[in-house]
Order: sequence, then structure tokens, then C-alpha cells
Amino acid sequence: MIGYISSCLKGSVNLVKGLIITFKYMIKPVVTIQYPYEKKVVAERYRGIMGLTTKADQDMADQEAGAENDHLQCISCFKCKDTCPVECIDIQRVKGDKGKFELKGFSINFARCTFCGLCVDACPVAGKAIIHSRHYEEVFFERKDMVFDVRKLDLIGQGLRPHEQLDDQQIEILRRVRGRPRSFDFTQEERESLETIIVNGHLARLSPEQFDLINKIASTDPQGSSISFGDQDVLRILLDEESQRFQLSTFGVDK
Amino acid sequence: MPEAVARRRSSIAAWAFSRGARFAADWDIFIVVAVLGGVFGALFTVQPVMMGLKMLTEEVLAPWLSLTLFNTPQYTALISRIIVEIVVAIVVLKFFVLSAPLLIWLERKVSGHIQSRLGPMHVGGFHGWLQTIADGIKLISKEDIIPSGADKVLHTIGPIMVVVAAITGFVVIPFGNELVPRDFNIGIFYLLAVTSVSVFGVVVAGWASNNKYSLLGGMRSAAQLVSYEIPRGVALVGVIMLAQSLQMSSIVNQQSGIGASEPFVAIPYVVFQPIAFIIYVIASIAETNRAPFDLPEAESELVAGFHTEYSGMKFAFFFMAEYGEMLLFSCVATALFLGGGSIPFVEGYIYAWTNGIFESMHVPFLIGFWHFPVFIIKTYVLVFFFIWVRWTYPRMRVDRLMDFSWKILVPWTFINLIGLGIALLPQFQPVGIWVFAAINWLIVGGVLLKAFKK
Amino acid sequence: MSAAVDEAKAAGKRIKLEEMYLNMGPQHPSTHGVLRLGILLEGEVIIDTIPDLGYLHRGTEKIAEDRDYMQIIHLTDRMDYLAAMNNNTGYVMVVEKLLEQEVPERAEYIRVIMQELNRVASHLLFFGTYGVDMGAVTPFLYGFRERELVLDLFEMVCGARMTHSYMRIGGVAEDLPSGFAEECKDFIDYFLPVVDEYDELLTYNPIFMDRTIGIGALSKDAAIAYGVTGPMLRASGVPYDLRKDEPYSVYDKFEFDVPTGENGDCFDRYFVRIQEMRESCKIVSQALDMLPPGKHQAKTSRIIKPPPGEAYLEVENPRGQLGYYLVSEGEPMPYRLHIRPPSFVNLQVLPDLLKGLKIGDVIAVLGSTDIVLGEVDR
Repeated sequence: MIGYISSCLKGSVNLVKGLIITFKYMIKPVVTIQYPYEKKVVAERYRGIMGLTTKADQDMADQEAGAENDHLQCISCFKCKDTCPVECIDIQRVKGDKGKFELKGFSINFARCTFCGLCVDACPVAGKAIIHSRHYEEVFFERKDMVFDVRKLDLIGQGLRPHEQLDDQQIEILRRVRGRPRSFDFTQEERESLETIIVNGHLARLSPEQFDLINKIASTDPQGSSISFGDQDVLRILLDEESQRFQLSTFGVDK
Repeated sequence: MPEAVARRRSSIAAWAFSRGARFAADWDIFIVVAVLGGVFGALFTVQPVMMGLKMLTEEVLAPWLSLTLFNTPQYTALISRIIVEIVVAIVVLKFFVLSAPLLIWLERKVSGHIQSRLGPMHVGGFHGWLQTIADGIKLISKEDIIPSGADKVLHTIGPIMVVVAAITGFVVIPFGNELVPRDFNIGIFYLLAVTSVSVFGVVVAGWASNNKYSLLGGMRSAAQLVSYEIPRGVALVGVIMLAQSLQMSSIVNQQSGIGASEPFVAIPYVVFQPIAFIIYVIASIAETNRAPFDLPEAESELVAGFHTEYSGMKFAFFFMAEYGEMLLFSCVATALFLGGGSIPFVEGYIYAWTNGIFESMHVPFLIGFWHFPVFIIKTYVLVFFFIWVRWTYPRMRVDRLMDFSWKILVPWTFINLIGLGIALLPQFQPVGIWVFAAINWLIVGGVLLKAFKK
Repeated sequence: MSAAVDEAKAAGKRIKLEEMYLNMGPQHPSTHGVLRLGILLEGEVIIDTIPDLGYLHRGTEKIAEDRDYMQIIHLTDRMDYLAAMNNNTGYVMVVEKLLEQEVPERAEYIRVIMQELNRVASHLLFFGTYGVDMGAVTPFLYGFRERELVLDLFEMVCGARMTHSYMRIGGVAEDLPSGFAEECKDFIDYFLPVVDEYDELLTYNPIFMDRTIGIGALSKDAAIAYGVTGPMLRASGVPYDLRKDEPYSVYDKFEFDVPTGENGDCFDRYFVRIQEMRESCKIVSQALDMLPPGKHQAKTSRIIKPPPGEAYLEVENPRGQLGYYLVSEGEPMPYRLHIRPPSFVNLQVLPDLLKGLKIGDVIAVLGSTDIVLGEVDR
């Protein structure tokens, strides 16, 4: 009899405890990131879609007629193609007049790619000719669109560099701002000065004003952390015309 | 940048979506509360409008109709009564039909927040307020499939019986002073009888599906429903003993002091019988086939429930019946335990005070205008409890369901009844009932304290 | 019911029983993958269960015979996709065993941290899906919320959330990024009280305990006889954990307990896994404190060609002991790679456990074995 009553009461206590926990989480803020209005900026090492990088201080606009892939760092050594486990890389090269190979065509079939990163590991070029960008949003209607040719890979690879050692300032920013992003409101001046913050390659040096602005962004988020942007990747700001708000994009080239 | 998203941004609908999305995040649960608050605020107009309409009908419309239609004033009372009854029937039906979408939206939002997520956000642009209507349209447009070999008539009658059982219960609920659609003097008895009709509906639905598993599920569900009617009924007997009446409006008046010759501090019955209240609520959750008692209709179990062979609007009927019954049982618990539409403890005084004011201002239809909103607020607190319980607990196994009812709920209701009977003996008055209340609250308070202790 | 039936038969009455075959098909919300269970029922009691596998077979072992040793690493990710770090480690360790390759100490510590974090993530998913099987949807969302944090840590380290391919022969692919130790410690400080909350919400819930205590008990002898490993074995009372009893890598340097159950029923299996989450957190904090400086990968030859021979090695997966058997003939590609998946071996217990139970208990027992079909079918 006593056992019966006590087991009833003990059971009730546990049931009420369960209710308290769910109520507690009901009033806490949600953890949802509402894609696509808010996007989570991925980590610096994220293995996204591959891109081909350019030589320092050259970009696509500098190409001369005829030497169409001269600005790319790729030396057509075929190492990435050989090491790919699913054989998704296809390279065409010709022997140039100086005896070195010239890159004629480079394509990756993303229907087969497993994003394992072996091609990036295998690349012998010091600055990594082929590199993971942090771009992951690609949608296709037809399967043949999943094969990226050299122009598209070049576009993706604009301004990317492998992660090297960061300097103290960058480490400071990164440690402070890892986390989930939200969309922000910026004033006109803030927007203009943000457009000049492009952490580009090994030229990443922020002026004190720019550093302050990043800090300010970091502290406006109620959860205390907001942006996670890569040390070497390009931080592009997408201006949403309708809402006049900035969306931080993982991949900024949207031309 | 995905072009698809860029294109979407440029439409007005997309602008609306992004506005809705922006207001979410940290403040979403308060938006739910604000919406409910708006609904409750709008309800303040119901009583005055209804009373005004009644006055208008009795004093203006009915005499006019009687004179023009029949050329004599003898039929005035009859016509006015017919009109009033029709309006009341429509209002009761509308209450049921309109609250179902609101309840479903509320459940989805609240359950979302319990699970640290947002719930519907996009349909309709602002926190998914059109979501239920979209679901309803989808269900209506589905093909109505009757399995071959099934009894066509019974297949259609099953869901209808369940819904009718839910709706007809609303007829005796005392929403406010003079806002009872039909004030039977056997109100509680009528309620218990009418809600039992849903058992028939469930068995008929299981039988008419021509499916072994549905039949088993239906029988199981019926057994569950019947088992949980006993604790429900016996818990209500305690209320009847305290109120000395089966009439719903009389019970509410005794708890609230409305219409008494002089105001007194009226105490809702939950103060005297918290355990009976808790048992009533738990048994109601089981009656509506909600978690944790929803094994007969759970999707991840192998034996399908009684409603697997139903599609389209008939399935929607079962769904609506579940939410309607949830609302009905909350209304009944509010009326019988929480004091109906009255503000606890001070109702008598406020009522008498405003009575004088409104009489002198010649606006007698404003008397007690707060009853309906207060009633609905209390009801929705209980509905929220139903939702809260559903999303916290796992499912009970069928044999444990029966054990829970017969071996735990029923003994406690009988202990409660015997205790109340002893406490109400004339030898122990007037202190007996308070001792009983104290013992009850000791147990309940002890459980709550233990649960909150870290 | 069978007793009544036997009695009636003994009394000479004619009873006709129908044995019903119920197909819990490959697409089912509760089979944790594409598993087909054919269940023979007598009324509501289960007589026999016939699991039908192979729906997720992708030929991993055959593909491995045509791939370089480096290229096989990404294949091992996708077997037990919830414990990719553990799979990777087992594979590179067996190759290192054949090569007799030394691994720097820092790499060993990093491997341990990653494996234990992956154990936490895997058990969180088990916690969520077991809750859903029982009918409580909320723990699923809570478990995934915590899992997101672990996956964010993985993303920070190797760039991928689920198919990591982080281990390399001779070490790990990249060193830990700056700020990782603080993030990891923050996660552990946040996570340990949350596990207590899970206990209050689900473990000690009387409804949940009712449905799992005493159901599907696997005795000690049966567990050992079947070759069951991992939390299932420990729940049956056998305190055997590879990390303690045959320590590999640097597990002998850490202090942790091996949670063991008593009865081997569903509740014990569930409880052992919850306890293991706490122990894994302990290991991770110790490893972070003891992390030595050094290189993250040893220097290996460009083309990895182990000498001819064979090696077998087992690691402790969240699901049991994962074994790799490698036969090399001195070529850049292996001659044979065979994988002993723990879920496959644990699954054989199912017909034995389900005999005599009611249909409603199938999901409870199946969920508690915590199988992953990617591993069962490879």
C-alpha cells in the first residue's frame, strides 16, 4: 500500500520534471537558422566546391589573348587527376613553346566528386592551384550542368588562397566571432566602409577603423558572436536591395 | 549566389517572407502570445454583441416580424425564440469550426518552440497563420477513397459520429452569464453521455475499413476510451457534491458568486480538489487519444489505427474531432473547476459594482462582458497544458494504458470521493472541507516542490 | 496466449492458428535505414524474425581492391556514416600496422579527441532516434541541437561535417586550428549538464522506463556466444571495452570508466550509451589538457606500398568493434580489404531477442541495438 502510493508520487515527480525541462526550452530562443534569409558562414577549412586559383596580382581581367589560362597557377602536372578516387577531373594540356605545359582545358564533374580533398592535398604548387572554396550552394536542372569547365572554376577560385598562418589581429577577430550568423542592419557609412573590407589573400591587413567595425558587428548580435569569415577567403557583402540589409555570403561572386 | 534565391527575392511575396523571417529568432514565442492576446481581446466584444442582438430581437425584430408575417402580436415570443435559437446554434458551430485552425496553429507553434525551432513561418507571410487553412484546402481537395469491401454507409457515418459527439458537447458550456446555449438542469450528465458517443464512432470507423488492423486498432481505441470515462466521471462527482447541482451555470455561479444576493468571496473548486482536477485532465487527455495515450493511432507502430483507411475530408473530421474534444474538455474543466468566466475570488464584488453602473447607464447588455474572454483564457491555458504534455512524454504501451486507468486513476478518484464525502459530513462543518483541501494541497505541493528542487 | 493454446490443444480441442507473415519493409520510419524484417506472428506474439539485408550494399570491399591506399580513406567514411572518424582511424591503423609506420604523439592525441567527439555525436543521434521510436519527438530535436555543435567542431577541424576523411596514413590530414581547444572545452562545459537534463526528460520518465525495462534481455552467455560487441555487450554485463582491455593508440594514458549494465535489456543498452557520452567527454578534456606539441603527420613515402603480408586490427566504434583485415601483395593497391562491421554481427541477435515479444516491442528492441545499415551492408 505504501509502496503503491510512493511509486505513484515518485512517478509524478519525474513527470513534472520532464514538463519543466520542455517549458524551459520553450521560452529560450530558438536555434533555427532560417535559410535562405540567414545563412551560416562555414568554417575556414570547409571543403566546398573546388576552384582554380590565380597567380598573385593577376586576375581574370589580365589575361592576354591566346594565353587564356596563363593567369592560373595550374601547371597541368596531372597529379590531382591521378589521385582522384572517382576520376572526376579531366585535364587537357599542350606542350608550349618554352617546353612547359600549357593548360587548355580543366573540368571537374561534380556529380562524381566526393569532396574528399585528395586533389587539393596532391597539388604540388606552393599556393595550391586547385583549392576548396567555401561555396556549397549549387543547384542544377540538368546533369550536364554539373560538369564545371575551366572558366567556372576560375570564377570560383578568384582570390582564394590556402590557409597559412594568421597574424595576431586575424586570430583575435576569428576567436571573437565564431558562431551562427544573423542578418544585420547597417547605416550608410557602415555599409560603405564594409565594402572596402576585403580580406584578400595574404594582403589581409585591416585598418583600426575596419577592426572596430568588425568588433561592433560582433557585439550587436544578441548571442555575442556573429561572423565567421575565413582568414584568406574573400568576404563579400551582398546587398539585398529590398530590405537594405546585408547578407553575409560564403561565396560572393554573383555576377 | 543561387540564382533561384535571387529571383525569389524580387517578388512581393518574397518580401513578405523575409519580413516574417526577420521577426522570428528570439522573439517568436512572444509573437504567439501576442496573437493569442489579440484574439482574447477581440473576444471582449462577444458578450455585448450577443446580448445586444438578443435585446434587439426580443424588443424590435420579433414584434415587427410577427406583425408583418402573421398580422398578430401573439407569435412574438415564438419568433424571437426561434431566431435566438438559430443564432445560438450557428454561434456554437462557428466557435468549434473557427477554433480548430487556431488550435492547430497554436499547437504547431508551441511544439516548435518546445523543440527549439520555429514552427510554421512562411505560409501567409507572417508566422504561418495560413498554414492550417492551406492544410485544410489540401485535405478537402483529396480524393475520397472507400476501400473495396467496406460498408459504404458506415464508412461515412464513422467520422460524422465522432465530430458530432464533439460539437454537441458545447451546447451546455456556460461561456458566461447568460451565454449558455442551452442550460439543462442535468448539464453534466448530458455532457458525459454525449461525449461517450465518440466511442461508437471509433468502433464504426474501425469496422468499416475492412482492414484487420484497423478493426483491432478501433477496438483498442474503444477500450481505452471506455476505460478512461470512469475516472473522468468519478472526478466530476466530487464537483457535483460540492455544488449540489448538475446544472452547469449553477456550478459556475456557486464558484464565482455571480447573481448571489450579496457578494461573497467565491472559491473555485480547484482549491478544494486539486487532485480531482489533475485526474480529470489526465483522463481527458486519454479520451482525446493524444500522446502519451495515442498508441492506437501512432504512425511508427505496426498495427495501424482506426483511421488509416480514411483520406481527405473524413480524415480531417477525425482530426477536427480530436481538437474539438480537446477544447471541449478544457471548457468543461474550466467551468467546473476553475470557475468559468469569473475572475477568481473577487468576481462577486466586481459583478455587483459593474451591475450598478451599467444599469444606471442603461446598457444592461454590457453586464459581465469579461466573462467570455476570461473563460477562453482559462480554457486556452488548459489547452496549452494538453499540448505541452503531448510533446514531452513518450507513448504508453497498450496494456500499460489500461493499467494506468484502472489501477492508478480509478483508485485515486475513489479515495478522493470518499475523503470528500467524509469532509462534507455535517459533523465536520465548517472546517472539514478545508482540512480536505489542505491534505490535497500537501500532496500536490510536495510533488511540485520535489520536482523543482535541483 | 501460447500457454492457453497449448492447454486447449492438450485437451483435444481443435484450434486452428494462423501464422501471419508481416513485412516491415525496407522503407519504414523506424528501421534506421533500409532494413527489411520479415516477422512471423501468431496473433500478436512473434515467433520468428527474418532480417533481409543488402539494400544498401555498395561494394566497398570490391572497390577497395582497385584503389590506392590513400583513396580508400574516403570509402571508409561512408560505411558507418555516423562514426566516420572511428572508421577512418581503424583503416589507417591497419595500414600503418602493415607498414610498421610510426605515428607522432600529437597525431595520436588528435585522433583520440576526434574519435571520442564522434562517439558523442553518434550516441546523441541514438538518443534522439530512440526517443522517436518510443513516441517522444522532443528528445530528437534536443539531441540534434547538441549534435550541431559537435559537427561545427568537426567542420572547423577538417572541413566536413559527416564524411570527414580526416585521418591519413601516419597521422592526421591537418593540425588543429587555432581556437579549437577553447571551443571544445566550451562545448564540454555546456554539454555535461545537458546530459543530466536528458536523463530527467527521458531516462527516468516512468513511461519510458516502463517500455524498456525487462524487454529484450540478452544474457551474458548469449551475448558472448553471438560475438556481440560494444555497448550491447557491456549492457549484458560483460565489462569488455577495447579501449581498456587491449588499448590501442594512446588510450592507456587516460582515466575513464567503462559503463556496464546488468540485465542486458533495452533500458540497460540505452543507459550504457548515455553514460558513455559522459565518459567520452572526460577523455576529450584530458586529451586536450595533455596535448603535446609536435607534428601532425609523419613523413611517409609518396606511394604507399606495404610489404606483402596481412594484418587484422579492431577499433572500438560507437556501435561495437570494427575490424579491418588487409591483405597486401606489395602493390600500391590492396589485394583484399575485408571489414568486420559491428552492426552486422549485432544484428544476428535480433531473432533471438524478439521471440515471444509482442509486436509493439519490435521497434523498442530494434532501436536499442543501434544499427546503421551503411555498416551492415557496406
